[in-house]
Amino acid sequence: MKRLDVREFQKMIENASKIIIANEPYLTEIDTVIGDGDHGIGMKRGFSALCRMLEKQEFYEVDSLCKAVGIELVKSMGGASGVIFGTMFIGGLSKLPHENSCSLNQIAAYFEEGEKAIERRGKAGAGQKTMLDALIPAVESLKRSAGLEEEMEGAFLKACNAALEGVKASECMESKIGRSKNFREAAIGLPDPGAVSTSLIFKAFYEELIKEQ
Amino acid sequence: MKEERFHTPLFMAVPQACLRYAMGITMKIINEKEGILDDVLQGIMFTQQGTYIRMENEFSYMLHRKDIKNQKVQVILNGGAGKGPLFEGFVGKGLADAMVIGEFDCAPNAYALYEIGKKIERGKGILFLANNYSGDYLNNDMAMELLSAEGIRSGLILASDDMFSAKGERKENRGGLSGIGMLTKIASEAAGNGLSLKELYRVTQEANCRMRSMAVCVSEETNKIQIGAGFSGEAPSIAEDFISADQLAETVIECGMEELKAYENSKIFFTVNRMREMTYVEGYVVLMSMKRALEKRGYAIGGAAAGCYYDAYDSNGCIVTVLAANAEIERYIKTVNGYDFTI
Repeated sequence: MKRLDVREFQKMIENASKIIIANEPYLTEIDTVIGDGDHGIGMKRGFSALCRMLEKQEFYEVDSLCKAVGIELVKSMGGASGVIFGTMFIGGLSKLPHENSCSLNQIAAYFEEGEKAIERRGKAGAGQKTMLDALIPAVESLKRSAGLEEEMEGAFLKACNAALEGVKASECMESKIGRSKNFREAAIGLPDPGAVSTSLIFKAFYEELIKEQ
Repeated sequence: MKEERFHTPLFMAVPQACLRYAMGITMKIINEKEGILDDVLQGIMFTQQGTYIRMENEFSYMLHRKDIKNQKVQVILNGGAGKGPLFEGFVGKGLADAMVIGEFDCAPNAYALYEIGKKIERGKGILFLANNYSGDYLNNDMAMELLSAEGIRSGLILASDDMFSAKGERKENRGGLSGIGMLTKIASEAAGNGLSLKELYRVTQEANCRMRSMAVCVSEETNKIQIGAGFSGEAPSIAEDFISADQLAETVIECGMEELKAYENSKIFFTVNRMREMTYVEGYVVLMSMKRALEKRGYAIGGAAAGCYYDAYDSNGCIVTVLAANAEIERYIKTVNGYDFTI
């Protein structure tokens, strides 16, 4: 598949919502040790609201879909996660066409802009044990795939694996920002909950994408 | 990468003591979990009828004064729920013009802050006031961007009075405790005096710089005074055997004034914010011990208050907030009538 259709993309995001909701206990468990214990609860609240919205509403342009997704996440989640995961979907809107499908190039540019927007607003970067440690490798992978003109499926598989590797790498990182920095030692050995969520989203994207074929 | 890059106002609230309300760890006299915060807002409105307007929003809880004044900057106080009266009870005359709370211990969302800002703005801008935690910073920052896109000016003060949350580090790295109550009053009074957004920001930020809070827990098990424990279980910085309220006040004043040395000739305003298990009586005993400890050291006291404003710790003890006010700040500290916020 060379282009991603808006209906397909909507289903991928819907699947991501379901996966996040299903993983709430695990996210809560790790966040209880290294954070404030409410990452899972917030993510569940946000992605449940998102799921309800996507079930009700149909989108015809990829940018309209992503804008609505991001706004719904910011509104329903609140907290740091709301802005961060909302920005993941809103930050790069200008890179998406107002059309019913988009190319891998556009997808890669879209997530890259979103990732940069998170860095800017959160004043954070790679290696600080945050969700960026999963998002940055995923974005890098998408860009590489786009450069090689790969198929959509292969690109999302590689992005998902890159995100998972990022999660693994976050395990031995020391928290520098967020409340978890007060639990530096306890946090070592556990992945960052935000990075786990990010990898779950990319995994859900890929699984939905191949299901459709 | 240089550490310098990471000096950001990013903290995340971990008030698990408060989460207990939402998660049912400790028995609380409540109904369905979903309706708790609605009851709080409706209760406030019912007991003070005709004072507030509630702005409906699916994911946030917002109140603003009914009598929004023209020709002034509007002050919007916000934060996670569950630590009342901060923030739900701090709207009104002499207090904030509006407040927004998110779910329990969860910063309210950026769109809610933006919507209420847009609704109550009267041409002179908005000052947002929140405690310095990452969720609060991120949502307020985004709300300011949304307002700016519509031509509405706004500023943000992040209260960073929690001295022990990052002791020895820059103040921007610290979280906020109950000091935001005093900042709200100062900002409100200054805004009422017609200060521009820029001036209001400057005065309120100056007060923030001159303010320190210390959480002092008294543990019956160990018979110790513990100072600086975080509300998510971070270890206290100081622990000593408990002897008396006077000794507690001595230790607290020693710690607090150490950092406020630069403002030696200022008037001192302080509050004793009681934790859940501390009684009314104990609050005033500690207040008077503080007064003596300060006077012994030659400080001039401008005012004091004891009450329960920031209900975050499920223990015995108090949060002591000390403000070393200059003449300008002092001018804006007024008594708020009809409430216990006497300074």
